[in-house]
Amino acid sequence: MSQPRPWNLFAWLWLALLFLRELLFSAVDVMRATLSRRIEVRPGIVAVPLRLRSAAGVTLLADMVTLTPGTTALHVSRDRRTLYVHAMDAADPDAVRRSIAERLEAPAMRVLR
Amino acid sequence: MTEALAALLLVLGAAIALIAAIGVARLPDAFLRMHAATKAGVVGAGLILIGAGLAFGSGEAWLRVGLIVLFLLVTVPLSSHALGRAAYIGGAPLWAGSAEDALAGVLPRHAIDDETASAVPVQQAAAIPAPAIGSMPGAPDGPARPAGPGDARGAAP
Repeated sequence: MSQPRPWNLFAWLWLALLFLRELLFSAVDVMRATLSRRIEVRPGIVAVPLRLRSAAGVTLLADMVTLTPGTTALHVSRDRRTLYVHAMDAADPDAVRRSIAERLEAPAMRVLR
Repeated sequence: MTEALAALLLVLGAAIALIAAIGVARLPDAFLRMHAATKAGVVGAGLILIGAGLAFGSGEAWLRVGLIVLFLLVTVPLSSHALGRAAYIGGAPLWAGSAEDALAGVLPRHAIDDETASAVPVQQAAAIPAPAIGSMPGAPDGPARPAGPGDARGAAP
């Protein structure tokens, strides 16, 4: 992984675009779950190992996690190595961890450590 | 044209906010409700704001819209994080259909002694195990209940 570049405006912009896309998907997801006749979700609390280390980085990630598909950040362990998220669909916890690591954490690591 | 687009965005935003409200009322536990309140709430409010920006059209209006959306994006997750964590520590029950609880044993959990709190919507009560309120560790005289297959907390000591 290359060094994060906090002053790379383009990377921030890219992150913002990715994030907006996720935000729209997540709104659609939640609305579908809300309006379905029977509420068929398999929620759960999942521990997500963090690669981001700085307070700012973890804060950014937790913020984005809360606003994206079916996950809300609940707690960060004191050593900042684990993020606990509540996922609307936690039938496969590994899929939750993977999706956060790939779709949010990786782009966030380009701007913060 | 701009007016029509603005009107469309306003109606769409209002509809999404309405769905978010329905979600808050309808979803089965505090944490799921948080999902509805945060995501759909931000998108709904965001669309309404963009619609308003289009309707007014001035640079000043857009500046305000941009700032409000920015503050929404920064503050809503904070409140949801704080509320969700507080709900967990305060003992808000996880819906009985929940898959797992990785926080068990990580954060302290108080017992809720509110007998009216039901984590399961009425029309689903027959389909899934009863709400796990009574079986929380430390809950006073809760009814004994066999742990459902997916009830993470039921399996915890």
